[in-house]
Amino acid sequence: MALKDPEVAELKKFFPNLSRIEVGENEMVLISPLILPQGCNPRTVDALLCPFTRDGYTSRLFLSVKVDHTGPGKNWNADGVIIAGRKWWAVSWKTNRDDLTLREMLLTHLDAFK
Amino acid sequence: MAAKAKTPAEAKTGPGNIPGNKKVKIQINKVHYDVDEGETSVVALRALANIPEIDVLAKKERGTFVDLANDATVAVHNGDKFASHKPATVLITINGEEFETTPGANTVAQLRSLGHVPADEILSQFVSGQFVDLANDATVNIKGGEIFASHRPTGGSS
Repeated sequence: MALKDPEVAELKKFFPNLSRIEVGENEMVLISPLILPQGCNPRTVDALLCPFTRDGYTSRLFLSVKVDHTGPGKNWNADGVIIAGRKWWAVSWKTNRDDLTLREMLLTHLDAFK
Repeated sequence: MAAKAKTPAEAKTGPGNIPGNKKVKIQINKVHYDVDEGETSVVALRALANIPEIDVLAKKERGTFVDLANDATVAVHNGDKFASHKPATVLITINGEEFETTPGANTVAQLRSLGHVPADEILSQFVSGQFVDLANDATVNIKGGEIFASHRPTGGSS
């Protein structure tokens, strides 16, 4: 599934260094760097936003490190998975919506860390 | 000494109105008013002409309108012309769309209304590379160029 260009363009206004990563027939969004909410350690990470269904989630936010944080997303059930040649970690967090723009998707996933 | 500001009802007859004072004719937004010659407050002139709170009152000086501070007094002479105008606005971005707003303090409620942000969405400001959630009772100092984004907090652990 290809990303929607207008949504990528909107997200790029926040993250000029954003890039698109092909993963098989789908695309993910690489955000480098991404500053996580206060209370996270470390706060600055690389992030991979997966906007398509994977592992039972309609979308996922993978991080380049497993961060300490005070948010509600405590279950790290993606533990060093290899995507596009790098290791990634993700908490179990469902957006409970399948109609989110990339911007909304990212913000909803960041709620796991607040 | 500045004339004391009048209530709108009092100001319809002109600021001052001291018996014996020389009356002069001025224009505010092309409407004629008889007022006392001399110093008067900008507040009184605004009230006289029912200038909206957000608008700026300016006086024509040597062919150019000069903005008047709301807390200032101004010398009024026969034939003086005043005009009001909207304040300069700046652009901000809310959910990818640009909006005009006045610089300075903007309440989050104003920003939410401006950007048509639904009540059940969190409004965040993107500042220094990070999203900062805004409390509904907060105020943001707008200079222009600020970026905001909202989302419905529907996520949860599974």
